[in-house]
Parts: sequence; C-alpha cells; structure tokens
Amino acid sequence: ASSSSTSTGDGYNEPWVEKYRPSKVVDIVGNEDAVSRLQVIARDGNMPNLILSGPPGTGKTTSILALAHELLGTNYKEAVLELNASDDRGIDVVRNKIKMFAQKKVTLPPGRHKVVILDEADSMTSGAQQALRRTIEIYSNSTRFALACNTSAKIIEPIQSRCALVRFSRLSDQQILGRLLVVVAAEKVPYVPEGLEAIIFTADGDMRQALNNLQATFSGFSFVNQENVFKVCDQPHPLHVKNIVRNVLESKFDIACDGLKQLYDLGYSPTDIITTLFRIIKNYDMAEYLKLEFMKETGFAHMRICDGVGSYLQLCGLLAKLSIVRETAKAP
Amino acid sequence: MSDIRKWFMKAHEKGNGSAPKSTSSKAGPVKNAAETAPIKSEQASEDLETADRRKTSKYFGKDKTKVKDEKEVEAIPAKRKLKTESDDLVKPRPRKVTKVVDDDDDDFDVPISRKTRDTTPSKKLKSGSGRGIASKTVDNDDDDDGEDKETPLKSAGRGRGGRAAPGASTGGRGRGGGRGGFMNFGERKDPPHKGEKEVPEGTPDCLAGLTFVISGTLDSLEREEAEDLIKRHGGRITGSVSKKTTYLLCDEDIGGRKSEKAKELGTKFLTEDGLFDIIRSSKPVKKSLPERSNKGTEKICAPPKTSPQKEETRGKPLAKSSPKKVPPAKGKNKIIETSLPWTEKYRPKVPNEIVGNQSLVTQLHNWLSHWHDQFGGTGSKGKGKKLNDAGSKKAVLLSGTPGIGKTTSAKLVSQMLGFQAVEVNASDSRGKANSNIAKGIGGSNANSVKELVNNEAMAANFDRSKHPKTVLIMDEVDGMSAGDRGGVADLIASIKISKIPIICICNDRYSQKLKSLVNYCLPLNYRKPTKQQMAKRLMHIAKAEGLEINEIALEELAERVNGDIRLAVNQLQYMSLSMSVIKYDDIRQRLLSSAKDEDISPFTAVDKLFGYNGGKLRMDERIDLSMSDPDLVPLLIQENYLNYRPSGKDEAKRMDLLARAAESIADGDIINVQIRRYRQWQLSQSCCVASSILPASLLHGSREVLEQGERNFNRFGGWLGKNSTAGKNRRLMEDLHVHVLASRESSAGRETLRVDYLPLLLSRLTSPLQTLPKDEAVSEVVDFMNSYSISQEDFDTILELGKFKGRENPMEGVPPPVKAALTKKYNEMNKTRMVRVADMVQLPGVKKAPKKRIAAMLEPTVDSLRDEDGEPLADNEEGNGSDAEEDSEEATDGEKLESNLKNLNARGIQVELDLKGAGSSGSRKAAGKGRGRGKAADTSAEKKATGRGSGAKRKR
Repeated sequence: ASSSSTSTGDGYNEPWVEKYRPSKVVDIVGNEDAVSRLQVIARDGNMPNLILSGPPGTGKTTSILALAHELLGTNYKEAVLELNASDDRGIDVVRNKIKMFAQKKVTLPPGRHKVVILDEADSMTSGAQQALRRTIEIYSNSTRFALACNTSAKIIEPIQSRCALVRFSRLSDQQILGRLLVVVAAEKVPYVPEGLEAIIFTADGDMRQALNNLQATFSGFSFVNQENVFKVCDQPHPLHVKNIVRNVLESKFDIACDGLKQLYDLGYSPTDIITTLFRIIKNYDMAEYLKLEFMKETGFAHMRICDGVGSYLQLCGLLAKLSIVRETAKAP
Repeated sequence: MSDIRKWFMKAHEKGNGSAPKSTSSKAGPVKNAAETAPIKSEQASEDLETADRRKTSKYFGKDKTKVKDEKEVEAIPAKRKLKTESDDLVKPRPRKVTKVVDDDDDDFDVPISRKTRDTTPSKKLKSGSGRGIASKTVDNDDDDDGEDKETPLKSAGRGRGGRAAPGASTGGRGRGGGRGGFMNFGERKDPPHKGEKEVPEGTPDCLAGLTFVISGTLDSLEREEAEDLIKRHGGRITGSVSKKTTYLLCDEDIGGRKSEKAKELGTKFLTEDGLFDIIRSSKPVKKSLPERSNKGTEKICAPPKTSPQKEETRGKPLAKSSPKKVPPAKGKNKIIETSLPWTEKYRPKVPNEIVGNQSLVTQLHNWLSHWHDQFGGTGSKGKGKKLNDAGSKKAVLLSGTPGIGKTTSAKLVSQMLGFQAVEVNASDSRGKANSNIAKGIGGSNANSVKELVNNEAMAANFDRSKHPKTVLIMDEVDGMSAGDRGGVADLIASIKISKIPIICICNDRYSQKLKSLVNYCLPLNYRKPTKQQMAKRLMHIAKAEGLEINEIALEELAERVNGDIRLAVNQLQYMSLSMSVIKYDDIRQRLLSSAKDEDISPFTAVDKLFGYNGGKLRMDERIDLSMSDPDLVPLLIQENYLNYRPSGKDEAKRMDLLARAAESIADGDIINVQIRRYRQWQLSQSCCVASSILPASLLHGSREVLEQGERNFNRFGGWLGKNSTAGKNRRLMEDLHVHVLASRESSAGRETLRVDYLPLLLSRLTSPLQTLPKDEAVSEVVDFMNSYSISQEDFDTILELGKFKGRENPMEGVPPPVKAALTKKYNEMNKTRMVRVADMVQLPGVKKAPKKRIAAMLEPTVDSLRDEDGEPLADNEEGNGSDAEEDSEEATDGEKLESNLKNLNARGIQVELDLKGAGSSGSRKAAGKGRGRGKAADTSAEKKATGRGSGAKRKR
C-alpha cells in the first residue's frame, strides 16, 4: 500500500482497468475488423442490433459503452438502458422495464436511437430472451439492442437471427503489449521488457487480466520484472518449465531433473507444476506425434498426482517416461 | 490529394463502365469507344466534382475536423449523379448489348459464358462495373495509359479462354466412359496430385453465368476447394446435370449417372486443367497481385462512401420502385425511413414479396377470408359446418425456423384482407387470466394487456358491419414460459369460444408445450426458402442500397445463414458498413468467422478432427473441438475411427495406426473413469487428448470403410444404444430373479441365475415344445413355469437373453398352434390365481409408479370382496394398512426380498404365488388384468384363498 503513493495523479486508487478503459471506439485495441465497423456506426448512426461475443477481456463491453457514448453524447443518461447480470433480468423486467424503455420517447438527432445494452446476455434465461424477440423488432425505429456475451450459442436462435453477430477474438501479444506500454508510461512504472513479456504470458490474450496483473505487480514490488510477475501471479516459471522440456528433447535427462528439482524445492505444488508442464507442451514447437504422446504421458502423471502421489519421484518418473517416449515414439 | 484522386477515379470508372457500351453501337468497334468515352465522362465528372465541392463545402463546413470526411462528400455526389446517368442508359441497353455480342460472334470463338452473361443485361451491368473498379484502381497514377491498355487486353484474354475450353473438353470426353460402379459412390479418393498444382487466380467474375457440375475425383483439388474456386470466380455449382449445365468438371474417373446424363444432353466435359486455363486466361495480363493488394486499400477507403450516399440513394430507388405497392398508411417520413434497419425497411409490403412458401401464404389467405363465412354468424355456439378442409379449424398455427417470414406473412395477409391485426407476443404477459380474451376486460384481471382489451371491444361490436374486423396474432406461442402459467390451455379455451380468427405462430411445432394446441389449429409448416429465392430478394435489397455484390456471393450468403433471410439481411447490412463492393471471398470470410463457435455439434467436431485439415489445426482448436461435448465426441471418435484412411498410408501402416489409436482410446477411458468416479475434472484436457485428439491425429484423412458393406458416413456412437439395451436387460433380469426367488425353488443370486440357470431354464421351457406332442408339451411347460413362477413376460425375457449371434432361435420349429395353446393354457391357469406377493415386494430401483398400480389392482378386489362377503371394513383397512407398510419397506437386495417373503409366509398368508412383472410396461397390463381377474376371483372367493384382503382375514 505504501508504494501506491508513488503513482501519480488523483485517481491513484482506481483500478487501472477502469482508469484506462478506452472511451472512444477508435482507442479499442485489437479486433480491427469489428472495431472499424463500429467506428462507422459511431460516425453515421443507424446502429444495427448487435451481438458481441468473445472471450473475456477482449473489449466487448468497452466497445458497446464507447459506441453508445459516441452515438448519444449528452443524451447518454436518458437514452441508454444498461443491464448486466447483476441486475434483475427476469422475464418481468424484460416485459416491463425494457419494453417501457423502448416505448419511451427521447428526442435524438436523426440516425440516433435509444440503446439497450444487455451485458452478459448469455446468462439471461431463455424465457427472458423469448420475451425480447418481438420487442427488438417492433421498436426498431426508436430503439436498438446491443448484447454482449461470451458464447453466442447460448443466445436463442430467434434473437441471433435478429442481430448482426460481431465476434471478438483474443488479443494478440503485440496488441496487449502496445496497450501495456501506454499504461506503463502513464503510470511511470519501472519495468524491464521481460517483465511485460511475463505479464502477457500470464494474461493469455485477456487485456483485463494483463492490466490487473500489471497493477498487482507494481503495487506489490514497484518494479515489473519476470520474477516479480511470477511471484504475484503465482505460477511455476514457464520459462523454467520450458527449459525442462527442451532438455528432455535434447536427451539431457540429468539437467532436466535438476531443473525439476529446483522447481520442486521452490515449494510449488506438483499439481501446479504439471499443469504448467501440460500447457507448455501444448504450445511447444515439436513434431505433432511426439507432442501428443507427451501430452498423454503428462495426463497420466497428472492422474497419478490427483490420486495423491504428488511426490518428486513421480515427476522424475514423468521425465523419464517422456525421454523413453521421445526415443521410441514412431511418426505415424 | 491522392485520396481525392482515387475517389475521382472511382466515379470516373463508374461512368466509364456504362459509357462504352452506349456508344459502341454507334461507333462500331468497342476499342474505339473505350478511348473516346473516358474523356467524355472524365470531363463530366470533373465538372460535377467542382460543382459539388462548392455545394458541399457549404453544408459540411462544420464537419471539417477530418479531411477525409470532406473528401468522401465530394466524391459521393459525383458518383451518385453518374449513377442516375447510367440508370437512364439502362433502358436502351439490351438492344445494344445484343448487337455487341453479334459482332463478337463473328470475330471470336465465343465461349458460352459470354452468351449467357449477355442474356441477362442487368447482371452484366453490375458485374461490368464491379470489374472496372477492381482492376482499374490499380493504376490511379496513370489513368489514361491504363485505360488504353485495359480494354483490348481484356477482350483478348477472353478470346483465349474461349479457345482453351473446347480443347480441354474434347480431351475430357476422350477419357470418358470409365467404370461406373454404384459401390464407388460417395467413396471419393484423395486427389492424386493433391496440392501439387498452383491454383490460378483470375478476375472475380470470369466464370459468371457458367454452371458447373463436379463429378468424380479431380486431379489436384478437393471437391470443396474446387467449389470454392468456381464460386469465387462467379461460377455456379449445381448438384446434378441439367440442360442449363455448361460444363461437367471431371478428371480421370468419369462414369456413372452424371456423365451419362451429360453425354445425353451434350454437356461439355472439362478437366481441371481446362478450368484452370479458363480462369488463368480470363485474368488481365496485368498481374493480379498488385490488384489484390489494392483491393485492400480500396476497401479501407470505401466505408466513408457508403453511408452518406446511402441516405441519398435510399429515398430514390425505393420511392421509384415501389410507390404503388406501399400502402398509403405506410408512407412514413423520410428521416424515419433512413434510420430503419434493413430488416424493417425491406420487410415485404405485399404478400408476393414474401420469399418462399407462397402456397402457404395463399392457404392462410383463403383461411382468413373464409373465416367469417364459416364462424362469423354462429359465433361461439356454432361448431362450424365444414366447408372445406382449410377452413374447418378456427385457428391456424404457423410454424418454422426463425427468420423465414411467419410473422410478416401473418400480418400482411390480415392487412390485405382488411383485418385489424392485434398482436400478442412473448413480450406481453400471457398467463391464464390475461389471455382469456373472450371474457374481456370485465372478467379478467386488471393487468389485462391493452391489445386484448381492444380485441374484446372489437369482438363485441362485431355485428356493426362498418367496424373493422379483427384478427388476433398470437406470436411466439412456444415462448410461453414460466411466467405464463396455463397460457396454452387458456389459448385453446379462447380458440374454442373465439369470435375472431386467431393466428398462432411458433418455431417448433413438435414442442411438448404445444401438443394440445396443435389439435385445435390448422397447421401450416413454413419451409426454408431456397438459396436462389433468397439470393433474388437479397439482390433486390443490395441494389436498392447501392451495394455491389454478385449473385454467387449472395447465394453463398443465403446458404450460410441456413434459410434465415432476416439474418442474411442483417449480415448484409453489417457488411455494408465498411464496404460497398462485396465479393464472394468477403462473405465467405465473414460468415466463417461469424459462424465459428456458434453451434459445433459433436458430429461436425468429429468431422473436423478427422478431416483432411485435421492435422493443420492448432492444438488449442482441437481441444476446443473435442471439448464441445466431452461426453459425445470421444464416443463418436471411438465409433468411427476405424473408417478413416490416413492419407498416403498403405494397409499395413493403417493397421498399425489403428492399433495405436485403439490403445490411446483405451487410455482415454482410464482417465475418464478417474474424472467421473473421483470427480477429477482437471484431467478433462488430458482425457480429450487421449480419447479424441490422438486417435484423430493418427487417422485423419479420407473416409474409407474398413469392413465391406458398411455405410459410408459417420455413425452415431453405438455405446449409447448398447448401454440402454444392457440396462433394459438388467431390469428384465431383475424381474425374473425376483420371481424365481419368490417361487422358493431357488435362492440363487442374480449372476448365478443368469450364468447357470438361464440356459437350463431355456431348454426346459422350449425343448418339450419341439419334441413332445402338443398337449403334453404345453402342460409340461406350464407346470414348469408355475413351479418357478415364471410369467409370460419372463418367458420372453429368457428367450431374449438366450439369444446370441450365430445361435438358432430356440422357438424355431415350434408350430404356431403350439405357441397359441401354450398361451391359452397359461392364461387359463392364470385365472384361478391372484397375483400379489411379488407385486407387494418393492423392487429396488423401481420408482413410485408400481405402488399406484398395485393400489389400482387391489382396489377392485377389495371392493368386490366387501360386497360379496360383507367383510367388515376394519379388516380391509387393516389389510391395506399392512400393504402400505410393506410397500414402504425398501427391499434393496435379494436377501431382503427373501426376508420379505418369509415375513409374509410367517403371517400365514396362503397365497398362490403368481408373480407379475412390476416393470414399467408389464405392470400396466397387469393392472388391467388384475381388475378383471378380481371379478373372476370373487365368484370363487370362498373356494380359494385369494387376494390380500381375504388372506388377512384368515390370519385372524
């Protein structure tokens, strides 16, 4: 907490995720195709009904909010109805609150419409979604709907049919890095590039996670480097694990075992180690058949560890198994 | 400034695209015209541009924050005006065009493509200008040079294409008439030279108007790739050969129906190389690569253009094309019009505009127009004498998938017949009280929806002839959910007494909720419109919105949205946000990305994993695929992994891989058990890898059955069916076991019974029937059955369980009269007995239902006994009480069952043991029988100690 005094500005106690939430559609990082279209909408109005779907932390809510702000400007308060999963969105709310809102008259410039934002729409019951169907259509000359969800399959088909689906995908590492650099510069965070790399690794394409991790690291250690990041986001160091895998592949079993020993002595639980190992192998660049065999063996070791035998011996045994597999596995 | 230049260029090209043709009829050769026309149009557009700049700068002065904005504004009006110019040219066009074609015919060996294209002038206009933009924006620096080069070269290219095609086709025909085995059907081989040839790129619509049918295996392309290639270049693919087919695309192995039909109709054959030649030669000699890259820039610049222009053009084509159609009431003011989404804007205004299902619309029309003749006078009391089939129901039920125009057609038809439509949909509360429309506001609660009030008023005033007639549209009846308790029942009630026609609309007619409703309605099932129908409508919309899009692309769109025209329109609008020229590839890409994780059924997931490209997927994607249904995907993999042949592997290698896959599946099963039994869900990824991904990656390739005579498509997991059969058999076995235990002839466990007793029982039950004379055999078998208290159902169970593949049916050779005699005898014996004890013993795993049935069985007996014997009530009650006690006892295994029986025995109940199956189907029958038997029994009540009640009495 003492380190937070080093951060500048008045909003020091605000989470960075909120502080650096883009307020314009243009500023949204990633998903260029979708964002470029939203920009067009923001400029010209006449927003179609939209479903934005994608994994968390890719900017769905942000872009809807930014879009609504840009479209409606000062009218935002009266012309936007925002409901998310924390609000009651049962069938009655849809029938009363949303319908009333849709019927409400708000004076807006031509091409602008009232906007109903339903965040996390995939958690709405199907009854509530049913009730939404005709409302979307009947009041389309005055009200438009924007739904955000993680999986579009959970939106009932009739609603999907009424909306244009906009898909958001995970952000690439470069895109996250770009944004992180902006934040780092604005907050004057001391960092080394490896630290940011580690943050990106732990975030796995999720911008919000990245920012949160960055802030956590900064407020905990006031310096962003690899060790600190992995201390905060407690995970066996992936690079370390990667080295183990590489050594196995290069048939340096002893070195691999030493690496494992080091990791084990740091106090990581075998479950964590093996989960990271699985993830590393999944993304490691090696022959496919070998990769699959490795994954299978890791799965077995994982199973044994789940059974309660999470000993160092088991992990060494896994490495030995992997070495054997590497020698005996045949390409299909 | 270069931006402006580009825009100017575009506008200029637009004018150019139409200008040459108009002049060509006068000037003769096309080439000259091409040179003269640009200059003219250039001047014109220049004038326009300057004029517009003056004008627009006035209007858009405030918007000058971005320079870009200004530029677009300049460009658009210019374009628009040119467009109207070209619109004027449309009328005289056809005549001229044909003339051009005639000229061409003399000069060149014209490929069919040109003819077909020219016969549809409107299409040509689109495609022509589209190409103009695509190819010519390349040279925005030296436009005049480009102009000169462009046209002659293109025509030359076309000529070459024309020549290449016939040559190739003769070659193809020479090879024709190969083997045509039906067995090979569907069993497509790998292309022999897969991926070895370079796939050419041509102009986007060089195959426009050509229709292809693909047959057999191509040389280097997968069928899907070939389809994609053809569609991308504007060609059309159909499934079977018809007169309209231009080419039959096939290599090596032609034969079978398609090629025969093609020969019959004289369709040309085309090899893959021939196709490549056509495409390659169509390409202008200027390299296509820069063109491609420029397309990108063009796209980026495009967005500004569409939107302002849209607002301008919107009013025009609409107003022009459909002023007579639009009813006066619909005439909204322009601002509202512009801001409507396309789905609303292009909602059909007359029934004829509805895409597809025209016959249903007419049917609906007839029904509605005759409604009042039929039910009007009589109102609620008359049941309506049947005039015709369609009118005999008082309500209709429109059903079909979303977005195919159900609500629209209901509204349109009622509007056309002058009905006032009152719509009640899922956004209104439709609970019991509220939907009671016929009673009206007076009788129902105060929350009654406004529409319903209106409705009541209308219905009450119905006899005033001037008053508009009303129709109630119940939209989304399957959307009646938790909040609308009793909604459907109430709807049915209101249909019965309704004085107005009711149109119900739902998605799924077979939904459980609507089962009762369907009987009261005339069902009209809407089908998905065909892609051609949809494409036509979409084309109309695209034209009205000033979008450049060819028909093939629209058909692709129509196909991708799966019949949902509203979604198609939505997609189109969304795409139009950033581009004004939409190509096949754009649509494909957009829809591929938008349909990505939408609904991956386990089947498609398995298809993808096993498919050719299964090996190219990233590991994460594969995990996602197999996680789409972690239960079903492994099952499907296991069911089908035998039937894939990994590409380029011989038989021995395949076996080897199969073995490895099988091993991996087994490993997956081990992990799966861990997951299920100990709830180690963290292992699910490993399970996916072992049980689905690994086998799939070993064996992905083309489908090829391992065993002869198997059907060549993915089968559903057999485990599910087998598992349920096993469950059923276990249940039947349980019944038998209880019965045998109850007979006290044996106290074997269930397993012993199955393994040791069953074969013997089977032979004892069946062999006498085969060897001994009829009467003797029957009585012996029945006696045997009685001694083990084996019922008729158990007899069947024993037969069923004794059945094995390769073993003959033990009842074979038993003549039907013997069987009949057996049944008869058994039933006769049955009459003298009462069932009870086994029924009273509660079976483990059987739910409450049997209890009720036993009660139903007991009741008549008790009643009748009471009547006959004057049995005191108290006795009966006590008897029933003990029944209930025993029923509530949980007998969980054989021992307990036995103790139960002993218990009964100890109380001195003398009951002949005839054990009826307490299983689900058997006991229902038993219930009926029991009742009948009860009556039979009371005649001999004193003679035989039967029934629970009398048993209790004796105990006393």
